[in-house]
Formats: sequence, C-alpha cells, structure tokens
Amino acid sequence: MRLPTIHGGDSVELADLRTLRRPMLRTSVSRLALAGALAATLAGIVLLARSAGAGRAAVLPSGATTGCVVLDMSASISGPVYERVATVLRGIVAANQSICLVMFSDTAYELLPPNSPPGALLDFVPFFVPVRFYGGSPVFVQSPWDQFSGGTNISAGFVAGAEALKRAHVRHGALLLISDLDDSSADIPNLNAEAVRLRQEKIPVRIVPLFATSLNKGYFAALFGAGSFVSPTAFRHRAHQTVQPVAADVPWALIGLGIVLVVLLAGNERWNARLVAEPA
Amino acid sequence: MSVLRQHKLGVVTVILAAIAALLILFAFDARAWQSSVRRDDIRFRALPDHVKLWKPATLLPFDPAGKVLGTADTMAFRRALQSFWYVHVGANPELRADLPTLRARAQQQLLTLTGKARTPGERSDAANLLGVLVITTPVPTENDEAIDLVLKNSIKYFQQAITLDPTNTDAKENLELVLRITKPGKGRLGRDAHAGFGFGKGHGTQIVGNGY
Repeated sequence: MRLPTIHGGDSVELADLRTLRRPMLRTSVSRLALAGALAATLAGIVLLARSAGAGRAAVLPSGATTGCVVLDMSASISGPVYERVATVLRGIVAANQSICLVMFSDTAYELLPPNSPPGALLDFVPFFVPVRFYGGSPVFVQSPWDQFSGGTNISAGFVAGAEALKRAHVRHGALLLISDLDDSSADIPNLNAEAVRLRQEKIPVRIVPLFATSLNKGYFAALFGAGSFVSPTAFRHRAHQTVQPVAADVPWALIGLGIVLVVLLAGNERWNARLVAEPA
Repeated sequence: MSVLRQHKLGVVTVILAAIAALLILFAFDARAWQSSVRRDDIRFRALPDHVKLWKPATLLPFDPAGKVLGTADTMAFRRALQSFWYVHVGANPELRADLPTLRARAQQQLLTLTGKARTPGERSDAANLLGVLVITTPVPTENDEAIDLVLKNSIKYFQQAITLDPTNTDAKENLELVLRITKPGKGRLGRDAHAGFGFGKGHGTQIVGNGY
C-alpha cells in the first residue's frame, strides 16, 4: 500500500504504513504550517526592508516627509546664537530632506516653499557663520533681514509655516521652530490658539531652543509637549564626535521578524528533517 | 522534572495560593481606588490645590487594578479640572511655572478631554472650561486682533460644549455672556435664551419636550 506524500520518489513501501497514517498527517500539516509561516515572515521582512534605511533630519519628528523651518529673526537672536542656527541648517542639508523656510519677527514671510531641495538652505548658512572675530566676539556678515528684525511673534511664524505646508498640499509635514522662545506677552493668546490649531491639524512641532530660559522652555513644553524639544546631542561637537544629522528609528519590527525567521528555520530543521535510517 | 511530577499537588497548591494572594491584593487596590476617588472628590471642593488628591496607595506594582477599572479617563478629567483651578488661583504647588505655562498645560489637558473623555457630558464640561480658559486669557487692551481672536475661540468652545451636551446650562450661560460682549443687547441675562440670542433664531439644540 502506498499513500500520497509530499515527497514523491525514493519511497519505501511498508506493510504497516496504515499505522503511520496519523504521524504522517501530523508531519505534513506541520510542514505546511511552517512553510506558510516562513513565507509570511519572509514577505513581511521584504515589505519592512523596503522602508528601512530611510533616515530623516535628526531635528525633525519621525514620520515627517517635509519639514518647515520656522526661524526666529527677532532682535534678540544674534551673535553666538547664530552658530547654532548654522549647525541646524547644515544638519538638515546633510540629511538630504526636502524643506521649507519661514522667517519671522513681528511678522513672518516664506523664503523657501515646501519641498525645496535641502541644498537651497546652504545659501542662508553663510549669514550665520562668523566671518571674523573681534575681541573674542564673532562678527557676522550683514544679512538682508537686519531691518526686518524686531519683536517676537512666534504665532506669526507658525501661521506662515502651517499655511505654506497647506498650500503645497504636504501630508505628514512638520514645523521646526528655531527660536529663543522669548515670545511677546501680547502674542500669547495667538500662540495658544495656534498651538490648538496645529494639534487639531496634526502638524507636529519640534523646537530647537536657542539658549532659552527654563521658564520659556516650560511654557513651550506645556504647549507642545516635553518631547517636542530637539535633544542637545544633535548639536554636540567634540574632537572625536561629529554632529549626527540623520536619524532613523531602530528597526525593531525588522529585527523581530528576523528572529522569528531564524526560529522557524530552526524549528523546521528540528521537527521536519528527513529521518536518517541508522544501521541496527 | 521527576521531582516536579512527584510533588505535582504541592506545586499546584503553591501556584493557586500565589494567584489567590494576587487577587486579594488586587481587591484591596480596587477598594483603595474606589474610596480614594470618593474621598478626594469631596476634598477637592474644600482643598482644590491639595497635591495628593486622587493618588491612592496601591499595593501591587504597576497598578493593575487601576488599569482594569479604567481609572485613566476619570483621573484625566479630574486632573484637568485641578489644572483649571491652578490657572484660576495662579499657582501650582507641585510645579514652578508661571501663569502662561499653567494656562497652556490646562489648555492641552482640556483639549484632549474634549475629544477623548468617556462621556459626552465630560467632553462638554471640558469644552466649556476651555472656553472659560480662553475668555479669561489676559490680552492687552489695545490689541483688538487678539481680543477678537479670544472672543471667537471662546464662542467656538461654548458652542461645542452645547452641541456635545445640550443640557449644559453653564455653557449656554457662558455663551450668552460672551455674545453679549460682542453684540450687547438690552434684555436681562437669560431672559431671551428661549428664543435664542442673536444667532440662534429660536433653533435651540436642547431636546424639546412634548407639552403637558
């Protein structure tokens, strides 16, 4: 008697094959289940691997496709603070992430529309890099917006940034505020309202505080969450450690599926390996 | 393995005893939550800035009783209420923060509740408090734009509160007060509410009864 099996050839006919029917069925089912699980795991790994390695500028939230830099150009932002601005802008350029740029003081205006190539930011970097030092203090080249600098209306910057993203039909956009957070007291009602609007429109906000006071940081943490602040490590310069401009989440799902694949393969070897007839 | 098999009954007994002990602790924690919420709701009326309100001393780590009872929602509402009170008195004893920060914290908590609170009543109360929070924001008198924004936003929140719970009379009264600021009327407060003030044209949101 001969029953159908997955393996076609090289079979030995047995007289008591009927008694092996149940174990054979069990083996076939486990083989099919393992094969299905292996195929599904492999498919999952391929799908996940497609998006693996896609980094983002370390200063932007995860999931953001386009960031809009909302840069404070009020009178309080000058001198050494500029160097941090330059570092952030270089970080975005290095991450090769499309960007838009809005500057604000009392009012706001859009300098680069959303989805601009990151290299366009490089044109602005020289204005934030000292050309020489005078008496230990950095001296910067005169910028076109020196006359523009005045009070600080952060809400105006957010409005301009959010409108720029909306106008460009950007989905998963984010705003990156670079400011000393010393907002005008008259702007507080507007800023509170704008924080609500951004939250309702699901536009995430990240903040690079430029030597902000703890009181101002506390206020912005209450408005946008403590997690909205960019970690200072994103700007750390050391002799053996350079700024890490690109960040990517640890691919835990991919790692997990890899482990599952290994376990399934090991299980396949353990339970479904071909029996080896040992000499009596 | 054989030792385990030999003492099978003993092992089962130990496991069951451990489960029983956990269940007893769980019951204690559930009881602690119940009594703490009831007691602290009353304490809140007398001592709204008390720092240890609604913080029961639970026995089990990670508070499984609280999670099973779903205390997160009810606590979020109470914490938002307390944050609102901190704005009212201008200080939070647990936090060194200025008034704009307290206001911002309360705003975010209430905003979350308007969308996620358990019942429409709680969502409505949160929207009403949000409206009060907005209308009481200090605005420079010469800043007409900011005053206009504050009025518009508070009206929006009061209307949202009424839509969420048409029986919320506090929200209705607050809405009427704000509308009277924008469009001063001659009638007494609450008198013309039946016909709808200004924008209402008599179309109320409350469920209309069927007469006597």
